[in-house]
Amino acid sequence: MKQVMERKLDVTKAWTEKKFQWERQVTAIQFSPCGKFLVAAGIDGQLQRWELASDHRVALEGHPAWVGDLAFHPDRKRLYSVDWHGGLFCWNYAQEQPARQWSHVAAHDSWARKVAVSPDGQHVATGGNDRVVKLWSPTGQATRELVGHEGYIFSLLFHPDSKSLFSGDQMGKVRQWNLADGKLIRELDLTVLHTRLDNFLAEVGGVRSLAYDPGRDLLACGGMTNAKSNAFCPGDPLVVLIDAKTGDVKQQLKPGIKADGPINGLQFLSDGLLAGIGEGASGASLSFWNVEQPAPVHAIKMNSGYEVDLHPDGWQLAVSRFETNGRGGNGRHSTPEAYVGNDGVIDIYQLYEKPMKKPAEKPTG
Amino acid sequence: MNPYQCHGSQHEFSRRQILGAMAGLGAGSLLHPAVAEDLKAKQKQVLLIWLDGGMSQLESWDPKPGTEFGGPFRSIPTTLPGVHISELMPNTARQMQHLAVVRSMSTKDENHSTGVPRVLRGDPKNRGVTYPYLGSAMAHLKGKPDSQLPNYIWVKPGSGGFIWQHAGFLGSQYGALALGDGKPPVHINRPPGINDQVDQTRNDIRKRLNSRFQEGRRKAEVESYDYSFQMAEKLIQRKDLFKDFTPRELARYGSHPLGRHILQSKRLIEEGVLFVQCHSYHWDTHGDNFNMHLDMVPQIDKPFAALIEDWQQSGHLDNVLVLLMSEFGRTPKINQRLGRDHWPEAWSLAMAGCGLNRGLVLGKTTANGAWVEDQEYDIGHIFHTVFRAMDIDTGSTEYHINGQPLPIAHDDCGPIKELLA
Repeated sequence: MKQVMERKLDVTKAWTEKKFQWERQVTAIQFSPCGKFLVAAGIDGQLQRWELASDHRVALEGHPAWVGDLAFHPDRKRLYSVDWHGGLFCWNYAQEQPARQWSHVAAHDSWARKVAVSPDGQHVATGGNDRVVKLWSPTGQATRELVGHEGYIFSLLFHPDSKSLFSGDQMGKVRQWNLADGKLIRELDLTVLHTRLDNFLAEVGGVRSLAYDPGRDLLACGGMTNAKSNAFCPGDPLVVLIDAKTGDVKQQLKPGIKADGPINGLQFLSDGLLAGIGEGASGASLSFWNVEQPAPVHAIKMNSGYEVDLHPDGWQLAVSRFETNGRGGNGRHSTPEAYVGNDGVIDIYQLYEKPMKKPAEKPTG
Repeated sequence: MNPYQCHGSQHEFSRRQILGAMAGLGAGSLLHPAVAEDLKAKQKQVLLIWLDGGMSQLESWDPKPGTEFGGPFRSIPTTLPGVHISELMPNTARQMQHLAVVRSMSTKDENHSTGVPRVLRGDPKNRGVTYPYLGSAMAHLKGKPDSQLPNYIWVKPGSGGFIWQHAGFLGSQYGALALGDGKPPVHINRPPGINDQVDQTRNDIRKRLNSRFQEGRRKAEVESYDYSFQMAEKLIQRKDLFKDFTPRELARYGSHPLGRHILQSKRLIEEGVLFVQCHSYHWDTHGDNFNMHLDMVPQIDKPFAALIEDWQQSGHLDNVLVLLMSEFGRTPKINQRLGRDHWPEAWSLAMAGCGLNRGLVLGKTTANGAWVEDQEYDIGHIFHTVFRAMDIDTGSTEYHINGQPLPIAHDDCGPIKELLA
């Protein structure tokens, strides 16, 4: 009789089943709601769609600039992406050869950094360097502008009830907007994630990532604090947990492994743990926090990271990270022919204990 | 604390020196207006704007949008047909007809600590001596000993002082007078309780004490105190140089530190200072390069373009050479923190004025921006060109140090002929 092992979510036993690699750094990733695909984008004008079952890759081409972010519609037919020239694109991503359905090449003045889709599928939100959050219908009609941020929009997240939207900015402010009337519900002070010392030439930090736990009404805001300069931009990675009912800070979470860049990606898991990935000049970590404690319950050291996303099945976590491609740092260190850009890697972690391979049967006779 | 004690490489003015320097103060300029006008008409001057750490050439003068290393920014057309620069420099794009941009700088040093002095000394051949910085060289070669203002002033963030180390083998009198945050030395105003007679008395005492102090000490070190006093003495008689900027000036140049420091440098040049170096730190964007350049490049674009436009209209650009540069550029390769590292292999600088040909873009980098493809220049070429623009013949002019003749610029380089009228 075949024995079926019961699978249990256990991040301490997480293992990488596979990885996808692309020739440019990948800063945005997301599983499709159908669970069949992973789509990634980054510092080129393309999106890459991998079919998880076959690893087959297809490029979605057309953006004129780096792609800042992507988000799926829950109808399992549409994918939205934004670029750093201000464009908003809609793709029929599930086709064998995906094609652009429509686009607004100037959805924002200057960079469009983030895009999000409400869980009920009624709203698409975009935000960028014009400091405006824009709402669109799923078919691309502009419906509302949410004005008031004083810094670039770095993060967007719809509330799970689809009635409000959180937007985080460069200056460390998170605004919650009422989608019904476009009015500001409240502004949360996350300025701990922003630094501007007297001798800085630029703002450093900002609210780089947001995640929401509907069961506990917790809003997680990722970034870094205590930036030391605007050159290397080193700081202390930090996640600030907000009690969404009261707006009070509930906890501050720090990675267990040394890193010096912002927490760029956050994701609550089905067991209540919070996963986060951040940048680091000499490495960073994928951290898992029990939100009651500042230190992670588990951390996996890895190269500088940019984003995390949880598969709809709840067992798989995609992590995008940096992969060096030849020696980096100052100066040439290589011939012109060998001087190529760094890569992006997406690791697909399985969040449970790796099944033991069945031992080979001894030959008989 | 011993007021004569050296504290690091940047010697701040001591209270004693500044108070002592109040002697014999008279209001206003010592220059007769007619003399000042004559000086302006004849003297060639230099303003070096230095973006310390290394501005990215790909986010400024040599954009490569849509290529492997090109970054997220667009390029925009300029007033020079066919020439594009980064979209972060829209104001400069409108002044390109007055500029000469070199896109093919290739230098030898990838480190700040050695690269900055190496570039600012013109990277001469190693002859076992310490060459002067460009400002000190200019003060030696073109400065007037009786100038009513210091020949070499350094406008910089942070602290000020007398930086004699810039002078190298020339001797401390050719060092830089650094104005911290572009401000005048502290205690520029004589305390009300000190009248002319008291001031003269304390100045006499100062001189006697200085003379006694010099006995048995290193000449260069001790001389630097005296020169710093002399320079401060000159400068504090020109309090008008430090009056507030007008709202119009700040609107045109920016109220941020770099905008104010370029305004201060402009004022110093217009009042006759031979060489002004205007410094901005923190361009070393190893992390978050694109967000940083997004905010930083406009801080040089606006005041630089305003300066060129103003000096073009006023005629100062005929006599003043403006040089905008760093110690190197930034790597085409984008690192793990989405930053760019140090890249001396192929970078850009801009020049204007003082008779240089205008509306030029010299040199070319490869399609991916990583390497020089045509007309490679080292910093030695720039030194030769600057000296020639300042009417200093680099072929016949030499330093003479302890009887040893030394070239004033790298002897394997020469002036960039396309730049010289």
